[in-house]
Amino acid sequence: MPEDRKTDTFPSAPLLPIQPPANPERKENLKNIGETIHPVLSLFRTAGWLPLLLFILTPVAGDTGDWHFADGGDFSAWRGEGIDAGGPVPGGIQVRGGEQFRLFSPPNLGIPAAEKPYLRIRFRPQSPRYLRVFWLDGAGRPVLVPEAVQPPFDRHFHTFWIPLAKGAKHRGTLETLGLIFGGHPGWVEIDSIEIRPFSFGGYLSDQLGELFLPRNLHPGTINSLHSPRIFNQSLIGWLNQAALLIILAGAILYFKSRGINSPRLAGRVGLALLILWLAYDLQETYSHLRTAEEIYRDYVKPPPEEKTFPALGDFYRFVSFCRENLPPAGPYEIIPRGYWPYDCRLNYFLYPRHYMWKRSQDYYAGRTLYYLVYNQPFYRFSAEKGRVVTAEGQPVTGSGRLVARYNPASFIFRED
Amino acid sequence: MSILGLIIAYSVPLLIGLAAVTLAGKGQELFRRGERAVVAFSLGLGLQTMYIFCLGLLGVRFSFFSCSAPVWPALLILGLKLKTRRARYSVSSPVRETAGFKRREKWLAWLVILLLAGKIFFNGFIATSSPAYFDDSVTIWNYKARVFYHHRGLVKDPEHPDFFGGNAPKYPNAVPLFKAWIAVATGGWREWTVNSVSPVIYLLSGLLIYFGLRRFRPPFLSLAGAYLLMSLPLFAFHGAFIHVDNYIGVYLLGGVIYLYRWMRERRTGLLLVAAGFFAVGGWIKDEGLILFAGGALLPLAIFLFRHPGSWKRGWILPATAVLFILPWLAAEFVFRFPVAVVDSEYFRLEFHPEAFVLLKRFFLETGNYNIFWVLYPLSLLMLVRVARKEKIVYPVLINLFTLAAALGPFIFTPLFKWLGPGTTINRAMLMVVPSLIWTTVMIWGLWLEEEPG
Repeated sequence: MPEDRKTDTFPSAPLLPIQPPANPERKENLKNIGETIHPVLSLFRTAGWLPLLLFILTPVAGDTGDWHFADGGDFSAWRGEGIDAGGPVPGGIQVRGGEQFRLFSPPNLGIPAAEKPYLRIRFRPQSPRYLRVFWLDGAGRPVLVPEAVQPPFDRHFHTFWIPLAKGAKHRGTLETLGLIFGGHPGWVEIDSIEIRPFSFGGYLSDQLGELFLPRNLHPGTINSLHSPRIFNQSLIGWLNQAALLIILAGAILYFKSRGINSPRLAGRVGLALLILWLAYDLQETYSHLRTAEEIYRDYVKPPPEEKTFPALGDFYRFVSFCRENLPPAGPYEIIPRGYWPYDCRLNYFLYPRHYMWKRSQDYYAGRTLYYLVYNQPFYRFSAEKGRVVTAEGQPVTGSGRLVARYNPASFIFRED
Repeated sequence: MSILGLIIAYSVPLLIGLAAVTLAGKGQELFRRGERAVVAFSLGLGLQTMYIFCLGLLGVRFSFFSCSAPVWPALLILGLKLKTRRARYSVSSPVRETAGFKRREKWLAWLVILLLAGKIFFNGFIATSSPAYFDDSVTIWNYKARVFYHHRGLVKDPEHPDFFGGNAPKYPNAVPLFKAWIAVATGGWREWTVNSVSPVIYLLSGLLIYFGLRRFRPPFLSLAGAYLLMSLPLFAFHGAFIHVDNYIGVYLLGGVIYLYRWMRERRTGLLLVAAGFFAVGGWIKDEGLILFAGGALLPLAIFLFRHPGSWKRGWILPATAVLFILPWLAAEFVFRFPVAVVDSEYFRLEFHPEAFVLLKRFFLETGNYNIFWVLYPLSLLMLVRVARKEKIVYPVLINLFTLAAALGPFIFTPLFKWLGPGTTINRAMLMVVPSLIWTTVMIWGLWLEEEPG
């Protein structure tokens, strides 16, 4: 974890030094998706009868306006405002800020607005976030892009294409790019940022990538399922609009044509709607399959010492560890208290041992209490003090002894 | 051994339910063969768990023999029935039954069946290969079941941490007790056996709606209805995990189907079956009772008012439902559980028009409902032309009242604050959408079966 650091002013010092790149595999996957699209489009290009397509397929020239952080793109010249911490991580860069923070690209990009550049950004917020974009022209005047994007909060990277300038309305050059991340405080990971002409092939490959993103299984999935985003809208949004159009067409036919065969019309409209339903369901069934596959790959197939579960990591191995090292009944506490999503799960899987809810405190008064610490580097056992203490050395338990250690940040402590 | 135990665990409520529907039918065969088993298991689950709950109240230890005891009188009833001449399933006058799939429907039917088979398989696999995963599973449904199983009974000491299942003692106990019964029958607490309930209920939902439609509609339309329900994305997802909102939806669907059938066919047994579905819904979760009271009673009263002779039978529905759930209501009273589902701070009227914007987002832009929320308003518009046919307006009224009961609190009370995060609204919709799908297909069928003009 990078050390906390605050940059309150703009322009300011570079955020953090840049480390060499990591995670080339994911990048390779993206390229593969692109390759499946481009050969088809290249037929048009070689035919030479679609110069416009040739233009839009040509990658942007030069190294300005192109930062692939996952491949070691230079982040050192970027500036921030309202940033708590930031720096390179495997797969890109990571920045943490409050409800709103800003990032500014290096200046003097010199990209002509007349070329109608687009911002292609691939990022993943760790809390619900939206992104707004602006740029500064040669005279330092800010231009706010009207489109705001809100990526699904599903722990996936998402790619967005945002038009930065539209025709004659914008003249001059784009000198500095600005990104405003709003919403809930937290981390934002950025894989890449490009300022480039629109590319239909690239855009289409990104959209297909979005369509086939696997569903992330996490404790919030039970409340709502995301629909994949495609062409700046949810897939289900498009299908609902298509359904409305079908209904509208059916209604016009019904009211305009006298003596229409209404069972036949109802049948046709119904069939068209059923096909729309099926289209979404095929994608949904694929997601279902991916969920089952993920559980099989991570939890069912591996040997016990390697099992993990989506969004819970090696939690079930920690449960086995606790079962081995706690007495068969009796109370325990979890540090920190209310450590979701693990507290309620430990309470269930360690039963008949009882987590010290408010209700059970009187019942277990005076009994030996155990403390569980799971993946919490902020808490440690101090042999010197014989207690669990915070990183600053503040005790959080009475005196006792370490019962067993699961990993450097997870252990069981018994209070005397 | 576990598999044999599991088969027994599911067979006992099935047999109890078969005996119950046999008694309810009074010699008449009310169901198709497969339908009979579906209805029997659904009701048997409620009857057996209520019986186990009464054992718990009386302090009787939960053992294989004590929990399965009702199966003996059930077998006796079924045996006696076998000895008498088997009544034939009758296709009575208001009901039209048509033959199999038309040739041009077959390819689509096979695609749908293939997709459904995939979903059932994935749900079965996920449920039986994963530990309980979501919060409500580990804090309420599986947790209480584990406590009941550990104590082989109910802890009635309010000071004990395991009082009435430990967590959420106020919550009804049908599902935890059924899971505890599975653990008893299989000889131990195993996640895969107790988690098998969800895919079973998921499968049941498809069969129930299919048979509920098949009574009145051709096979392809009935299959389409089953497919719409089982492929509703959030409903299908819940079929793999231990959350019971979809269970309520299935029981409310059963209640609506058989109440409607009673309105059409006037056989008292159907009214008893409808009452059973509504009551078991309330025994699964308090919301089931609220939706029954808020959704079904007024349309029933309107029906009885418009059909004066039917008063003689109509009272059976609420009376049976209350009678069934009486032990739980009595326990709630004796142990002073709060009557309300939510805290008193939420009992205040205040209008939140901004709720509609959020509802539009949840209904039309998330991946929970496919295109259902475009289809359903369309079916209401289509109803205008066919409202007088087949008494279809009554189940639609039940739908609208249950929908209002589920949505109203988010629009007209401080519960609005829970709408924004979206943690409850979509799950609440799983309780009402199954019966909405049934009426949607019924209305569509009325249009399709009209004589060409």
